[in-house]
Amino acid sequence: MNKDLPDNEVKNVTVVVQPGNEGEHWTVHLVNSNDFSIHNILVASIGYAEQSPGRQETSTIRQFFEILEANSSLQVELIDPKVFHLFNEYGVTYYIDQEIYFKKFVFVPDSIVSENLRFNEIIAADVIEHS
Amino acid sequence: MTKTYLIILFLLISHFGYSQNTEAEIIENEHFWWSVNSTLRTGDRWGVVADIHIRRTNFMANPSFYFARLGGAYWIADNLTLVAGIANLQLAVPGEDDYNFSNENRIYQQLQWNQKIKRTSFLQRIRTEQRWREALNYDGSLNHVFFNFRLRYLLSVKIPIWKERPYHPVPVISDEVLIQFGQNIVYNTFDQNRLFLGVSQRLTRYLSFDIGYMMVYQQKFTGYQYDLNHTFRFFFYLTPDLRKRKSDKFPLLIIPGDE
Repeated sequence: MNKDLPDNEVKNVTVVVQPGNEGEHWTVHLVNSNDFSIHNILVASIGYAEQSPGRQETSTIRQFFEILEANSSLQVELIDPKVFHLFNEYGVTYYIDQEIYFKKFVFVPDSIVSENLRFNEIIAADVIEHS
Repeated sequence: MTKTYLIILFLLISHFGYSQNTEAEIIENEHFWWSVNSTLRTGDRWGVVADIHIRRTNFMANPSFYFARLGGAYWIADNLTLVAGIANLQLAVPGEDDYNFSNENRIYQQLQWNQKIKRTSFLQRIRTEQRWREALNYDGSLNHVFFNFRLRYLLSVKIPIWKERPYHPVPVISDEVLIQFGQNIVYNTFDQNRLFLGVSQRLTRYLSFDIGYMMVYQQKFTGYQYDLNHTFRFFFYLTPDLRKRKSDKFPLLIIPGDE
C-alpha cells in the first residue's frame, strides 16, 4: 500500500513525453537527472477518464527496469494520441541504496499538447515534462 | 481599496498556486504585444466593441498568437457597461518542422465599471469566458477539442499628473487575475496574473494608446511550472461616437481589450 511506503522525497526523477518519434505515437521516458543511478525501478501506467468510481480506464501496464544510470533516460512505453484526453498516470517506484521511493506523475487531460513542449537536456529534444 | 485588492490577490495566488510538493520552476520569456481596441458607440445605450491582437515571442522573432474579438455593448449607465461577444485565437505551437496554429473559439461576457475619485480614474472589469480549444498532434492535425471556463478580474488605475490637460501622458497601473475551471484543470486553477505599468497618451478625441511593461505570470498544467513573460505592450484605443448628441464628458469611456 502506498501509505505504508516511507515518505522519501523524489528529486530529479521525471517522466517526460516526447512527440512523434515512432509514427504517430509519442514516447514516454523516465529521466534521472541525479548524479547517481537508481535501481529496481517499477513503472505502473494507467489511463482513466475521471477521478471517480466506475471511471473509464485502460488496463494497467507494469514494467520493471533494473537500473537507470545517472543523468540518463530510458524508454518506458509508446503512447497513442487517442488517449491524450485521459488522465495518464505513471506510478514510479525505485530504490537508492536500500531506501524505497515512490511518486505518481499524472498528466491531466489535454496536457500532452504541443504548446507544453520544453527542451530537455538529457533527452536532447522538446518534451512535455512532469516532475 | 487597493489594499483590500492586494490582499485578495495574494490569497488567490497563494491558494491556487500550491498544488504539489515540488519546487517551483519558472521559465522566463520576452514578448511583444500589439493591439487595436475599438469601442463604437452607436446610440445612448448600444455600441460595438472589436479588438485585434498580435503577440510575438522571443521579443519579436517568433509568433505567439493572433487574436480577434467582436462584441455588442450595452451602456447601463455612462460609467457601467455590459458586453457579450465572440472571439477567435490562433495560438502558435511547436510542430515537426515549423509552428502549427491551434484554433480557439470563445464566447465571453463582461461587466465594466468606471469610477473617478478626484482626478484618479478607476476601471474594474469582470469577464467570463467559455473557451473551446484545439489540442493538436505534432504534425499539426487535430487531436480533439476541449473546453474550459475562465473568470477574470481587472483593476486599472490612471493617475493624471497634470491637471485639466487631456493630451498629456497619464501613468497607468493595472492588474488582472485569471482563474480557470474544467475537467483538465487540476493543478492550475490559478491561470495567470497580469501586472501592467505604463503611460496612456491621448492623440485625438477618439484615439489614444498606452505603452509599457506587462509582467504575465502563468501557471502551467503541472502546477509547479510557471511562465514569467516580460512583455512590451503597445495598445491603441479607438472610440468613435456616432450619437447625434455626443457626451460632453472627455475623454470618452474606453472599453479595454486584452486577449
